[in-house]
Amino acid sequence: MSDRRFVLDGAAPGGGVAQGAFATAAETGDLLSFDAGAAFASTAAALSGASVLRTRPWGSAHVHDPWPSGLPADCHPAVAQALQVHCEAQDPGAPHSLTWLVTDGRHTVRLEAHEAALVLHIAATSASANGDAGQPSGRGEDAVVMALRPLLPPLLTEEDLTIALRPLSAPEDAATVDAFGGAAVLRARQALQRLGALWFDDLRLLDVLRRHAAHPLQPVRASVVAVASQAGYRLFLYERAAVETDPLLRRILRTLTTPVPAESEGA
Amino acid sequence: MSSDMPSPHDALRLLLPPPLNRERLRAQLAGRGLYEVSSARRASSSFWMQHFRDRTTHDGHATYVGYQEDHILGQGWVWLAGPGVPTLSAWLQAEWGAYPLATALQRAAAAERPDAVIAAWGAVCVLLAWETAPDPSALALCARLLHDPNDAVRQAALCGASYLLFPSVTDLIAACRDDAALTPEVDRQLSLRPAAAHGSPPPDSHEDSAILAAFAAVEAELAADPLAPDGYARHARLLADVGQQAWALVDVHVALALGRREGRALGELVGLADGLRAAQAARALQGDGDARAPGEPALPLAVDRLGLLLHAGRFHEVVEIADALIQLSVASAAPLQVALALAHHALGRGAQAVSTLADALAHPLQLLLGASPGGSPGPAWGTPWVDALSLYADWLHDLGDLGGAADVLLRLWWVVPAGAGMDAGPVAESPETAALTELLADRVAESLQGLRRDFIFRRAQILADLEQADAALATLDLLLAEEPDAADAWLARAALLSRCGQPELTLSACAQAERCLRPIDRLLEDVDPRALLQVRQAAALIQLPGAPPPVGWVVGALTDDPRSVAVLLSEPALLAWVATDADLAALVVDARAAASAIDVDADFVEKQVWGDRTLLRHAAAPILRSLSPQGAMRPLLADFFSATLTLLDEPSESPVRLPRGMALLTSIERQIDLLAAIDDPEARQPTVREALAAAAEALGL
Repeated sequence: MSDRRFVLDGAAPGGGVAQGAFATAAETGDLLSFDAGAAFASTAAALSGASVLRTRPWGSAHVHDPWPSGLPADCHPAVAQALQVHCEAQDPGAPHSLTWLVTDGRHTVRLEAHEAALVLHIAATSASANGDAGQPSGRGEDAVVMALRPLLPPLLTEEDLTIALRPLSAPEDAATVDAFGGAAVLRARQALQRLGALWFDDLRLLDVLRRHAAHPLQPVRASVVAVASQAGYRLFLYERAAVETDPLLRRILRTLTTPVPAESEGA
Repeated sequence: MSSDMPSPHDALRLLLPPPLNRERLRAQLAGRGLYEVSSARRASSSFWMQHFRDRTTHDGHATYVGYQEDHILGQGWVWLAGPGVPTLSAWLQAEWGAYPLATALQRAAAAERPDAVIAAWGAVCVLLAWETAPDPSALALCARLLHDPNDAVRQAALCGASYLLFPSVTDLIAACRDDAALTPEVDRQLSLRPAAAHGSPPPDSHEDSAILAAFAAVEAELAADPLAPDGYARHARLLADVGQQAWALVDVHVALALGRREGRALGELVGLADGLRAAQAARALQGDGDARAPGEPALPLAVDRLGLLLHAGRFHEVVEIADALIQLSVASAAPLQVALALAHHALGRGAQAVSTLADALAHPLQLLLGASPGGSPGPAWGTPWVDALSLYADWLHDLGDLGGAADVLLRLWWVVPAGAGMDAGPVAESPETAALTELLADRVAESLQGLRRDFIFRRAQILADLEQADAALATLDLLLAEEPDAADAWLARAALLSRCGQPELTLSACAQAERCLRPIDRLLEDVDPRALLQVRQAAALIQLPGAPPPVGWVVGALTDDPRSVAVLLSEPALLAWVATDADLAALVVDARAAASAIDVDADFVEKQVWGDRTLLRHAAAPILRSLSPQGAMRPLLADFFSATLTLLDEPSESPVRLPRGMALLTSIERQIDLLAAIDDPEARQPTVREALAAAAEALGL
């Protein structure tokens, strides 16, 4: 499988066109704040203008491109708007996203809005995907990434984010934690939140959260809880609630573990 | 899943411990000759499924692997089926550390820390859910966790138990009802479980099932034939059997009214009705708080039945039923009186309708808070009380009681402005409406916003009929202050000023209307507003000394729409002047004939150019009005009609007319098909296709 997923990093200067919304965190010094709505709008606008992408994106409510072929050239604005609303409809159970078809017709580019980050997902279309998963090919995806890079902020991979988490794995004595300073821990928490976006439907995220669930620093544990809540790891939240000692986190966990409709598939 | 894929029920099931990496698993399975088949898309964000099978078959059988992730429980697991299972299973256990349910139970039993216990419990539940019966050790574990001293462990146990739909687990959950940390989740889970899973069936469960089935059958019968008396009779008996006398009385009267008009024998039903009334009276004497006649709570049923009959045009039945139920009612007869009034009105009994409606309006709060019988021919005003007042005003107007109608509208006026954010005007608010105004302001604000315009025009009309021109003009000015480009308001103002004999101001208002007139305005009205404008202008010019004879205006008006002749005929000075010109007089005669023919049967109208345009507009206006202003169909069709009307102005022998007409029709048909493909509710309406047919006919296609 050659799908590519990236988190858009807006903190670095000189990035792509979407600096406005991304600049908020860097300007205020609060790396954990993120205006997903504004960032999504500006990035989607940038992607809509990309020559490598076809112009009509579709929303998460549709698995395949729902735009009808052969739209009349004199399409009435009301009809065009109705089609756009329909095609950009969102699935309430999925992250808000827009997907574009690459002009080669063999790949799609999906922009996802998550609580903490935007994610870019590049995949081969089902028509062009090789049915044999044992023969991965990524050249097409790489080419798409290369074409889009000038338009976007820097793209972070899962490797970049897992490296950024390393300060959280430091020895637990206070002196060492202080030596790292608050900034490193803050960046690591940001990386954790971003990993939560990148792996929002991948159970590898739970492994990462478990690794840092008992971190000596309360803010780190708070980030773990926040990401777990966004990912829907309900039983994991009960695990945290069972052993957490910090009063504030215990209150938060009590609220998060208030019963919600179960989604059991049953037998 | 594909149809030949085995079920996880019949497969070997193994848990995969962390760290999970589905891409690595996919790649390794591919290396072992298994490829991904078309799998079901994940049902929600909490689950992930992939399915694999090998390409080669062994004696005609394939090996299947299913991989699933459950994010709620935080577990990944696989199921294996087919001849390759032993090899795959060994490989998964060696390479991935996969383990079966028995091992998961051992690990859960051995876990000590609360978080480890919870994690292990999740692993147990994700596999145990697929078993046909729970292992005794699993039940013991479930029971232990549900009674753990740690709140979070108990809550986690309940969360996992939601996957285990075994009667024995249901009993364990039920035993936790008194646990404050677990209720109401316990109740919610028990309510979701199949009745058969309950350990001990509730008393009379079989009877309850039979009664529910009987109700379902009768309700299906009523839905299929809502005017058949037998269904209502059966429903009434069932309701009486379960002690719902008030509801039963509603349906027994419906059955009586419908059956009477079919000539049925009604003795049994009459007996049932008598018995129900007696039972109601007896309970009332005993001080039974539930012994209410069809007021509450049977009022919704009564309103629903009467509304259905009103829609079906069964007005005599409505009169009989409403009369009977009103006599039985204690405090909530107002909605029934509205239904009765509607029926009287439909039967031509105007005075009775007004009188009955007045009785209903004496209890405004009942109408405010209760149901509406529907069937109202007027606009929906957002509350039954406002509906009823609006009807009351209309009916008084029809009876010629203009003062009464104006009075009612003024009463409404005190509600509408408060709800619509308007200034109420100079009329002093009466005490009886003050409280209602405040009560309604928030509730109706949103719904009345859209009806405000309609109310303003109606009020202006009533005031004009009462010869209160200044007040009528002031009413229109309220709208123009907010919508200075409202062509309809300028046109109404011009009509009023013309009536007041003010030609210069009339011409000024006409100029404003012409400036604001949009193509869609000309399509939405039955009579072309531009034609009406020209008549008003002609009538004003006639009264101005030195003004040119308004020949062009008269010809233009009758050409644009011969139905504007009705307004011309209402202008005495203009009519007198037209009569002096033979050509214009003949045009008026033709227009009158065409207008009456259009009203009777459009096929008889001779198809001249102005006939085509008028016919198309005649077809377009009601269709456009029936379409939602918020939808895509209305602007699409409005522009289509505008373009078609413009094309009709081309001479019939013009070489561009036919090809352009074809292109227009082809394009709009394609766009309507596009809207139908995305399930636009209006795209499939027959009236839309009728509109295209009318346009094609007008174009001669």
